[in-house]
Amino acid sequence: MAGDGAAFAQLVARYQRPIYGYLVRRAGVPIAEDLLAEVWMAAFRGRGTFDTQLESARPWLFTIARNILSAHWRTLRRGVLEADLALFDPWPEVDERLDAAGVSRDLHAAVRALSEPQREVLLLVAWEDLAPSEIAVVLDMTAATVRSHLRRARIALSSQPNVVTASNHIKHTEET
Amino acid sequence: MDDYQSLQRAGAITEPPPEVFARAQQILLDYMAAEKMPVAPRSHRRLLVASGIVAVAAAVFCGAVLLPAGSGTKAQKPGQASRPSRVPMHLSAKTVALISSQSAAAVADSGTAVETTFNSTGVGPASAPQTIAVTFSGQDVNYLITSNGNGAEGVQNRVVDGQFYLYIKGPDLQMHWYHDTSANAAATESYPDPRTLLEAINTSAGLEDLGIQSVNGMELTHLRATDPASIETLHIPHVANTVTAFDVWVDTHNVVRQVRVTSSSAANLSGPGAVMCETSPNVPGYTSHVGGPPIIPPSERISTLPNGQAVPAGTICGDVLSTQLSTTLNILFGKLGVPESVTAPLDAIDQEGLG
Repeated sequence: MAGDGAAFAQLVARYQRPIYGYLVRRAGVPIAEDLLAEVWMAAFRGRGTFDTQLESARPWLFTIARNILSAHWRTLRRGVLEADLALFDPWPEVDERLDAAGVSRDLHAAVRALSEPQREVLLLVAWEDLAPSEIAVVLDMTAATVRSHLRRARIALSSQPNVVTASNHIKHTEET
Repeated sequence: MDDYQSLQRAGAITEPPPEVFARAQQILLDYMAAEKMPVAPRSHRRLLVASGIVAVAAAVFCGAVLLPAGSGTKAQKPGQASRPSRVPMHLSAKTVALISSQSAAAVADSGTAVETTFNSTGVGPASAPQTIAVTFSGQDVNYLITSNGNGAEGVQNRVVDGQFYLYIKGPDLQMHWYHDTSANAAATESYPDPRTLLEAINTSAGLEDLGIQSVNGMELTHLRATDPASIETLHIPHVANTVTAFDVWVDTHNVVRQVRVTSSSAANLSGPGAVMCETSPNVPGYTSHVGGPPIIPPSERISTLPNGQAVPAGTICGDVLSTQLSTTLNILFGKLGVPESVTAPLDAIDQEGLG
């Protein structure tokens, strides 16, 4: 177990910033601080599930962080009436962040108009710097599906008049 | 600045103060310190040894990497839990599936378990708790009654190769092994196979994580079904009509080590359990409900107990013709994966219709 603990310490040291960043960008600072500890405990508890075939623990940890976030939002949804669920935005922090950063209205609208998986894939590329193969693990889909979502996101963003540069970059990411 | 850079800039965050990471690390340290359960290697277990994650000296963990307690952490008020207050966390379908598959794999070969059954009528226990030591090896299972309050301790039921054996008192009042030669006798086995309850671990039950609990010296994660009624549809043997609670405790390898199901059903009781006595003095051996006005109507009151003794003066006893019977079945798994031998008794006496 000492070896497990030491290896886990390396894991925490290496990935605490990116995981914290992921949580902050989607849930805000106060909640992210609590959820970060939950992620480490869940990861430690589930360390036997780590797929040693993976080259890096990063997608595995992002998967756990995403599950923790999803559980967090589900607890908030409990108080929402069924009729209002369609209007319930589980990622308000993302919108607020786009607002606060002063991104162009067109880009903001384009991102908002993306389907949930498309937006998720886009933000995992743009904000978390994950490769499509890593996103495939996080979102439990094939790499081909991830690329497909990226491609659709690119097309959707391209249809906005002032978002050409972004789609070009996404195309580049998709090909790497 | 192009739009993609603008999008990236929107994702930029301020570097948090060191206390943020130190606090999370401290919580993790506390959690890891609480995990003391010995771990037996299992073939299906995948260890956290990945390329890029190299084990270093354990001292690194408590020193250079994770800050020691109190170093840079927020001051903890007396009585304040070291872990943050948290709402129960729902398990993802993936995690539930993992627990189900890991547990099924762990009990697939052999193991032991202790089954304890409690029956209650709501005003008290309907019968003494029954405890059974179960040993299984593949499809072969042995049930040894270790206590049931009715003097059946030592009785065994055994299923080997589909044949049913019982270790019970014979006409000579000595214990003997009998082989029930009736067709499908093994199907009459009345005790639950502990492994069948694992079927209840599925996403429809909506398991949520209630945190760590110490169970039989093990630090386990306590999970509770938010929709226990959904388990009824699985028609698991020995689980009564209405499932009112379902709890499981899993170890760090996502293997269930304890499972508890509480179910209720309308029951017409018979035998000693059907007699309830109220008002003082208690009547040993019979369910007693002391205090408050008598609830047994005069028409149902009896003067003689099933054991032939007269109902003591000042005590009211009556037949409980029907009641809501609540049954709690608790299964604590013991050795899992350790080879066990469950074999047919060599000297069993063939007899038909025992089961």
